[in-house]
Amino acid sequence: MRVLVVEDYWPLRNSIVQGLREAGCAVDSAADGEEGLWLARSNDYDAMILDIMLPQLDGLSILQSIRSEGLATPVLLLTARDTVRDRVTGLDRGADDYLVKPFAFAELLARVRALARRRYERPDPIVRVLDLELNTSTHAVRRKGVAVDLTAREYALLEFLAMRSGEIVSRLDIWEHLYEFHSEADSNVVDVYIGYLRKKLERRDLPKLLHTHRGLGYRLGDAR
Amino acid sequence: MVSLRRRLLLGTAAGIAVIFAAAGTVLFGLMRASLLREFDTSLVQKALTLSALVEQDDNGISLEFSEAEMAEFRRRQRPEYFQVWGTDGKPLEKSPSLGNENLPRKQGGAQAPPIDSIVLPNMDPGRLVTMTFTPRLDEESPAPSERAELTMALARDTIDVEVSLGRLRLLLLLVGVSATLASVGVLAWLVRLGLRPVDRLAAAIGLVDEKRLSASIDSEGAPSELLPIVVRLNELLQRLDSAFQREKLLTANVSHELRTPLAGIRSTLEVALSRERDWTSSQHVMSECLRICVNTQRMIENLLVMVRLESGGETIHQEPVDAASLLRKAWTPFESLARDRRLIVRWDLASDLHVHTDPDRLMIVFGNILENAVRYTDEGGTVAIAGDQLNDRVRIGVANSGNRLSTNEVARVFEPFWRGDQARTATGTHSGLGLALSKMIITSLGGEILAELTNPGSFLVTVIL
Repeated sequence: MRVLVVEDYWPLRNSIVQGLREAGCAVDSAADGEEGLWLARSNDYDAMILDIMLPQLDGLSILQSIRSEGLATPVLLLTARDTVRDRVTGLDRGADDYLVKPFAFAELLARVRALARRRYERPDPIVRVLDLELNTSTHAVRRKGVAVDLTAREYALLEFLAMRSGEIVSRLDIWEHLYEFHSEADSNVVDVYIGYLRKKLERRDLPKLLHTHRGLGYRLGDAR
Repeated sequence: MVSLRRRLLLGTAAGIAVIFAAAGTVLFGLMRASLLREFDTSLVQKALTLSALVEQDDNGISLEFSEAEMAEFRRRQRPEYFQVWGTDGKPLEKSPSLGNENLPRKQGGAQAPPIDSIVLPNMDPGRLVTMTFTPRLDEESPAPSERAELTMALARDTIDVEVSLGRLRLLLLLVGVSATLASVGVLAWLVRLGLRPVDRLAAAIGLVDEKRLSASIDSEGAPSELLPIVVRLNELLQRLDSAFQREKLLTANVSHELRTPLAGIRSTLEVALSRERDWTSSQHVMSECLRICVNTQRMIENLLVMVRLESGGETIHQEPVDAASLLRKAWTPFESLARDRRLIVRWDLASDLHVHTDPDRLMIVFGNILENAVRYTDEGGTVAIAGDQLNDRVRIGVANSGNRLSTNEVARVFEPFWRGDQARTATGTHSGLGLALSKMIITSLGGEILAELTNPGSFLVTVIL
C-alpha cells in the first residue's frame, strides 16, 4: 500500500510516516501544499492523508485540484478544526474521511486501511481469493482453513496481490507500493519474496494460486 | 426601588392638591369678604335709619322707635341689639333684647363707622357697628341750648353668613378632592400610556442574550426621549458582540494551536510504543516530545501575558530607559543565529534614545521583532536596526530582507495566531503570537507599532514611543 502524507507540522509528519512504514506501507511525505499536489499528481497512491492548514496551498485546494483532474485516490483529511461545518466542507470537497487532531494512531491506521480497501472495492476486512483468506486487520492468513505463518514483508506482498487478485501486477508496481521492498535498492528482491510466498502457500493437494506471467509480472488467482 | 411612575404620580397628585387648596382658600376668602361687606352695609344702613329716628328737644333726647316696627329688638329667637349713649357716655336707651346686659361701647365714627366682630349676649357670633351722630331737632319745640353728640351701637348675629360660608367651604373641599382624584386617575392612565415604550424596551432588552447580541433593539417607534438610550444600547451590544466574537475566535484558535502539538506528542509516542525500540531511538523520541512541550509552553506563556494585558490587571512600571542599550541587550540571544545564517546586520542608532517607559515590556517587544527579523531573512540577507528621536518621541525601526509577504498579508501580521507561509513551515517553533503580543504591549505603553513593506522583499516594523 502506497500512501502520501502532507502535513506541515514536522513532529506529526515524522511520526505518521514512521508509523505507516512500520505498518507496511510505502510512504511519501510533503511539508507544504505545492509539493503535496505535485506528488499526488506524479504517483499512484492507495490513500492520501492531507492536513487542511498548509503553507502555500491548503489541503482543501489540493483535494479540489486532484478531484477536478479525475483522480479518485481516497483522501483522509487531518485537521485541528472540528466543527460540523469544517467536516462538511471537507467531505463536500471530495474527502473520503476526516480525522481530528489529536487522534489515536491505531485509528489513523485503521482508517487508512479502510480507505485502501474501498479503493479496491473490498469493504470486507477479510479478503478471500479462492481458498485463501487474509484478515487485513490482524494480518492472519489461512489457506483452506489452515493458518499460514508469514513475515511482515511476505504478508505485505500477499495483501498487495490479493487486493488486485485476478490482475497481473508488475514487479515495479510492487516495488513502488511496498515500503519493505521500496527500501531495497534493487527491485529483484520482489522475485525472492514471491519465491518465499510460493513455498509457504502452495500445496500439492491444492490448486496453484501464484502465477508468473513472463515479462509482465505476477497474478494471484485461479489458473486461466 | 425608585419607581418613576410612582414618583411622577405622587408628585403630580401632591402638586394638584396644593394648587386646589390654595385656589379654594383664596376663593373662600373672597366670598367671605364679599358676604361680610354686604352684611356690614345693611348693618350700617339700619344704624343710619335708627339714628334718624332720634330727636332732640329742649327736654332732652327722645327715640321714636315704635314697638311694632322694631320687633327684631324684642324677639327671643336671634334678636338684634342696640344701645345709645349720651354725650357724657351715659346709656340713654337700649333694646329690650339686651335685658340687663350692655353692648360694648367702642370708639364710634360718623362717616365710616367702625364694625367689629363680637360675641352677642346670647353667645351667637355677631357684628357690631358703632356710630356717632347728632340727633335731629324737633321742629315744633324750641331749639335746645346745646346739640347733643350721641353714640349708637347696633349688633346683629352673623349666623346666616356663617352657614353660607360653611356650605361654601364644604363645596370647595368636595370639588377640590374630587378634582384631585380625577386628575390623578387621568394622569395615571397617561403615564402608563406614556411609559409603554419603556415597557416595550424592557421586553426587547429581556430577549437579548449572549447568543443574540448581534440582533439590535428596534428603535422604530421609540419616542425621542428613549431614542438616545436605544442607540447607545445598540452600540454597547455591538461592542459586546464583537468582543464575544473575538473571544470565540481566540478560543477556537487556542484550541487549534493546542491540538496540533498534542497530536504531535501523541502520535510520536504511540508510534514509538508500538514496538520494541533501542535506547537511541527512544532518546530521539523523548527529545522530540520535549521540544514540542517547550514550544507549547512558550506559546501558553505568551498567551497568558496577552490575557493579562487585555484584562488590564498588570501595572506598568515606567522609568527612564535608554532604548539603544535595551535594543543591544535584546539582540544578544540572536547574535549567534545571525552569524550562522551569515546575515549582514546594520546598526544606525542616534546618540540619545531616552524614553520613559517599562523596560521589561519593551524588552519582550524588541526580542520578538529581532527574532522575526533574524528568522525570516534568507541566508546572507540583511537586517537593519535603526533608532532616532522624532519630536519628543523615540522611533525604532527593524527591517529585514527576504520577505515573502504580500501587502494584504502584512496588514494581518498583528492578528493573534496569524502566520505567513514562511512561519507556517516552521510551525512549532513559532506560535504566531509574537507580533500580536508586541502590539498589545506597545499599545499599553501608549505607543504605536507599524508593519510595512518598504520595497519588495523588505519588511519593516516601526515602534514609536
